[in-house]
Amino acid sequence: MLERVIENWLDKASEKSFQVPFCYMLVQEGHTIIHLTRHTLTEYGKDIITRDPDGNICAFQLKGAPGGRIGYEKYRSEILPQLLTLAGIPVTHPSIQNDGKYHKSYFVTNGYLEEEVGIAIETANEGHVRNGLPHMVVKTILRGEMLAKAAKIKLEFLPSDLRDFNLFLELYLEDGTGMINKHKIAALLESLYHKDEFKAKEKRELISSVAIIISLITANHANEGNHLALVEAWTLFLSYTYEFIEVNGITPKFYEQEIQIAFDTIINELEDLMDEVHPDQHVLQPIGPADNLIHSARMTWLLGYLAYLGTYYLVNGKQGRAAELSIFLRQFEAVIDIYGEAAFAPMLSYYWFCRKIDTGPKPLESLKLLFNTAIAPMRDEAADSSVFLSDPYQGVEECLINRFSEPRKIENSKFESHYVETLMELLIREDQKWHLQQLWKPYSRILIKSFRYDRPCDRYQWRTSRGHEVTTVQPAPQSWGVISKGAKVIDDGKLPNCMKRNPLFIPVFLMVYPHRIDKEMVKFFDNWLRKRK
Amino acid sequence: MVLRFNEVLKVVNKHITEYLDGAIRHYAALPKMPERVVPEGNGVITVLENGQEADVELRKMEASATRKLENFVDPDPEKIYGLLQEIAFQIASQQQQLLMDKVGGAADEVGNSLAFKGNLTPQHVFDMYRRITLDFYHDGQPHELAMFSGPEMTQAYGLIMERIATEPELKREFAEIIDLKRKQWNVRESNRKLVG
Repeated sequence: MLERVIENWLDKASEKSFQVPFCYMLVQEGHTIIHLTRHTLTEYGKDIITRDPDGNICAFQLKGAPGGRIGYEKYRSEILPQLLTLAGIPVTHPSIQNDGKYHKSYFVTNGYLEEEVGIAIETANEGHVRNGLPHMVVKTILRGEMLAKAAKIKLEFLPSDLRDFNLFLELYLEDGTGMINKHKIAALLESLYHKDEFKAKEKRELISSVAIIISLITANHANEGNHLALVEAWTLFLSYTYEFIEVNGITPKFYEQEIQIAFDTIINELEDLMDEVHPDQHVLQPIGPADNLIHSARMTWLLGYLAYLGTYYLVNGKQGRAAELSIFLRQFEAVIDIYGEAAFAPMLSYYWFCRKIDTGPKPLESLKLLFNTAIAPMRDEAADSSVFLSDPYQGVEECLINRFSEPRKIENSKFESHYVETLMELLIREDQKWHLQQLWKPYSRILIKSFRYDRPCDRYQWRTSRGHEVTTVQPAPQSWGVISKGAKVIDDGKLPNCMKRNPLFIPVFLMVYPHRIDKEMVKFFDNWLRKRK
Repeated sequence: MVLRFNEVLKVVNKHITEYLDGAIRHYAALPKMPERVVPEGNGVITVLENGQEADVELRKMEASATRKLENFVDPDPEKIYGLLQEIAFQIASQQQQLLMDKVGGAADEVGNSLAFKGNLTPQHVFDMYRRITLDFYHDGQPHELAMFSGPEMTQAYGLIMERIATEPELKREFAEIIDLKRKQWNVRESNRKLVG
């Protein structure tokens, strides 16, 4: 059955949607991924660059031919020039030493080559060898070989339980135009990772097999160019993989590549999204009156992810791109919609980006705005108001559904907040004593919600059955000395190790898991970001 | 296999769940007590103002009611609803017991329990009010209190409150207590500040 699914997936996959799983297949064969591109024109025909188990540099050019054949005309006009650059232009990459050796070149397609194309490539290869240019030889990996590679996935890891397999099929059959179903993907990941015993070698194979399964279930999203759905799916994958790594005590050398591919995929998707919305901002405009009513919430959610890309640029020395993004994101400020406490996660992402790129008052103003919004229901003038924010367990879709449901389906207490203490501590870190003093009365009325985990790695789960929900009544009066000390000290012993090793994962994790807000996690990232040049 | 109306069953099951929820509320000791979902974890902790923690593990509640098989082939819906009522009553009783255990235990712990012999008197009611923390609305009215008592005590309490409302001396004493509580609330509210 699974073989049929893989065949079906391969037949409909675009080159973009089989790039990531193909990388994981190469990893399973012992390749080390050096570079994974975004199908831009700057990579000289090399979509993937790897080092094979014998130490040779390999360059792969991917070409989608969903369910079809590549004919001679397409080969001559489109593919041949790309193959010449693929083989002819040496690989230049900081992690590859220029030792004068040529790379191996591969042309990969999920379709077939028509006979004359196959003959043309073979003849050209023979000619290159004859003429003393063996480095110009391009090997082909066609549909059949792709299937064979996919079949090497350790089938015993895949969902064998009928219920889990149904879950897999349900996810695989989604049309790919909407948001991903995080509950279901989390359940599938748990069915794959939460098993008792694995041998050491199996653990690594499992990670790349699970990654391929994620590629399969998001294939339609990839084909539709649904970038944020892919970002969320790969974030869930990373989160559960981190949990698996920590629970099983796996050493970094066994998983670094697999993690890096997933993280690169997240960044690639965000860059693709940016490329799509930046030059043609019409795609951001609401379509019809219904979309108009939820447009601001969608923009707020989007703002967080694009701001995250900006932060990534800044910490990776791409200041120019970050500046361009910063200007682009200003238009979003006019349409911010705090649709629930879950909206604080994308807004925190925007705050961090602004904080890093802008030394003026703007980042601080945005932080104050968030804090003021969080405490608004507790101000004297709003004492009898029933307007308050949904808890962060309600994502953007649930909040919007609730907004337009009559009667409202979600009842929350206006006296509670999961985010307000974190926002307060960030304001302390910004030295905003006066602002806090002015608003301390409504703030102190709020019951602080948090979660006490049994194990740090439990927070990687979408929902955990372990641990305790904590409600804290705030002392009155409170001392500035006490809270300012608390805001500066980080209890990072409570944070999971993989998160500490990869702090840049934190903002995207929070946007996908807004209910996992944790002041220690936020302070840890805030510190890390402040220290980055 | 006999065909089953799966989609219909989903709707009927939803209806049964809602009916059961309503019936449990009907039998509940404090039907207006707010309910909330605990989305994850296996317990809840409340950290009080003084840093003291109150820990409550989540407890699974189960109830069962048995009927002879022939009752299930009887199409009379009243019998099915009767069964649900029976289950609802059991669940509500368990909730009530849990509530009493928790509230009673907490009251004992902080010395807020009031035990007396004989009939309820106005002084007992005043004593109760003196012991509790009372919050106020912005218009100065106290927050409503929930009372859980047996039928005799409920009746006696009602009579006492009538006396307090009509007898000047009792009315004055009660007003003084409420005034004191209002002052304490004002102090608490004005203490809500960031110092140092």
